[in-house]
Amino acid sequence: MRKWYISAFIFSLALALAAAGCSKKVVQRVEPDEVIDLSGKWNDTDSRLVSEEMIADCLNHPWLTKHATKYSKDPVVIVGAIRNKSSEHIAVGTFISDIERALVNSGDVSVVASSLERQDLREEKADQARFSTIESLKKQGVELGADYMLTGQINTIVDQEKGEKVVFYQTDLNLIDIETNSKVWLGQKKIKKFIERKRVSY
Amino acid sequence: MRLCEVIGRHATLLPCLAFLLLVTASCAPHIADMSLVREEMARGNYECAHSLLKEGDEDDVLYLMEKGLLSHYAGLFSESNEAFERAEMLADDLYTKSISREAAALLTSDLVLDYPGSDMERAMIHFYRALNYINLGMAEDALVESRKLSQRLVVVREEREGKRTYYDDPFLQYVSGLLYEWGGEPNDALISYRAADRLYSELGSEYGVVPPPTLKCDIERTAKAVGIAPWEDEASAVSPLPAEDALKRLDKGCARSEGYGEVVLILELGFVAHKEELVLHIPILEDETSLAESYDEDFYLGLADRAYGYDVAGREVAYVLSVAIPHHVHKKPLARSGLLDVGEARVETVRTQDLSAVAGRNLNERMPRILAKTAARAAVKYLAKEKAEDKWGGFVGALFDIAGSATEHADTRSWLSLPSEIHLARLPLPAGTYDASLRLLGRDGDAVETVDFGRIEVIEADITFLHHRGP
Repeated sequence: MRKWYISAFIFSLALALAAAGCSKKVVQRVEPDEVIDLSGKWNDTDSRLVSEEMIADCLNHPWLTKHATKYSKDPVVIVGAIRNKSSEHIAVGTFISDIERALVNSGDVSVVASSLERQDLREEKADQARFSTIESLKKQGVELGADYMLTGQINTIVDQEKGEKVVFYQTDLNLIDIETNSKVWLGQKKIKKFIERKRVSY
Repeated sequence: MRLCEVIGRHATLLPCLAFLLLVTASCAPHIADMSLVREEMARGNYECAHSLLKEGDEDDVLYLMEKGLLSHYAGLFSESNEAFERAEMLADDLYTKSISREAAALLTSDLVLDYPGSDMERAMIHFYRALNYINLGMAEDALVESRKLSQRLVVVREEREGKRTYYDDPFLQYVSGLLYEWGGEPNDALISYRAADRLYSELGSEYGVVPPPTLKCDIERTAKAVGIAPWEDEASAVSPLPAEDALKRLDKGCARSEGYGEVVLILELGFVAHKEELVLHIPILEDETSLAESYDEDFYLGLADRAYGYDVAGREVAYVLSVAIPHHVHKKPLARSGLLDVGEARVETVRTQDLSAVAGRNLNERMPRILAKTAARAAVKYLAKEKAEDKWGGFVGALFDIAGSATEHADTRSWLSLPSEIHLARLPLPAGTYDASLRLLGRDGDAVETVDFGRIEVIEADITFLHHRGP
């Protein structure tokens, strides 16, 4: 006697029931620098690695020694706009912070606050001028002007077919001499990710 | 045999049957859950509609799409984006089909399968996310959505190659072009505008939609911006114009005049067509039981045709299978267009998108497959019941019969808060502040709703987006 449909009926229901009962939330603490790729999208690891590698490359180029030779002091850099021209919502603010951290921690350059941060600082100094003691008052008009501005953009190229997807991220950074508008360093970092989804699961 | 003895002998079957009934209990049609929400939406009470949406499963794409759109209308743009983002991620994950669930669907109902959203619905997510980011003042992120939308449409084109319905979307291509142009990316804008132009030619009459009247100019303007003279733009669908005429046209209307900005109105009307369940009865004849048992594919495909009527005169019917299939229900929007007044200028909207038409044609395309699957499922349920009856007796057979009937539901799931139509109007104006209002015109030409946008600011070389949903 053919009983396949009854067996299939009971088996599939049991599987579906088991699948329904399998969802359980697990939370565990991990090291912040541990690489965890879930969706395949741009993540904290990409942001950190790209910023560290690009800034290391930037500080390894002749513009730094030329500046030191010419002015006998460390260059002052401001991190300007880094545009997200990709097809993902990238937290550009985090990426900029990673770049600033890499620059400051190198000890080779000084980094000045961004225009938004400067606005806050100026308001604070104006406030101090009214309410702080003379001894603790911070002077106005002695800000450090930047010599160079770092700007850039993040682009993606996506190629996808059925369950397979290749995402190519290209980050371009330009260091521009503010006085002369000349580009003193052009950096590029590429990341390629292959994301595969299985067609079937059990 | 006493009832308790029968139950005792077949105790292992009871959890399965209980599960079937559980599935049935959880299968309240989505339209029933959304009826109050849609009523409030029709009244324009979006905050109320948002609060009426029942707390759902955060792993359910359909719930997340409804939540995303209701949050959008309620002005909760960040919450809307979170819901849409999760819906996108889950829909991507549903590319992987679960064999166990597919098997369960064959034996119960398609409702046990997770709903990934139709191609049209998944593309519309990007449209609303872009609007959310515009409202949040995050232009760069709105452009990200435009890029995602372009990629999504590439995937749709590849996956639906050879299909006649929804292989691309002229309206969404146009919106994508509009956003690219706004974001200072004329090259991408030109590509999207050209695609929109071609698709409106191919699909416009089928879906009853027309391109925005500015489309030809949009193409010429962006072509010029990337260094292609309009009369050289052979790749576009624009009729080649003599160089002199093309230059005049650019000077007169297509080029953005200095000191000008633009108002873009996105007007949504009505509710998208929804699916309801239709129960059909398909006879299986006495001499066909062997075909049914051997799972003959042609036999099952042939069963689908019987749903439309079958003459059984002179033949003995062994069993009448009851099956449930979806069919479309659509009510046209009350308003047929809108008149936008900004200062002294006036423009009428045009119907650029008809989501009900898209949904209707998609269902028609899928119907043969739905019918074949439904008929096969009904036959399997019947045979399972027969064999259960042979092996364990009439009581268990009856339980299989009840469970089989109780689980038979059509898959009527769809994104129900979507509008039926989307209209568009573009109006270039000198930079400044203006009073803006909108009058929605009914089928008879009378006003069915008036909207006051208040004072709006038009900024040079920028777009002021206005958005309204009407009846």
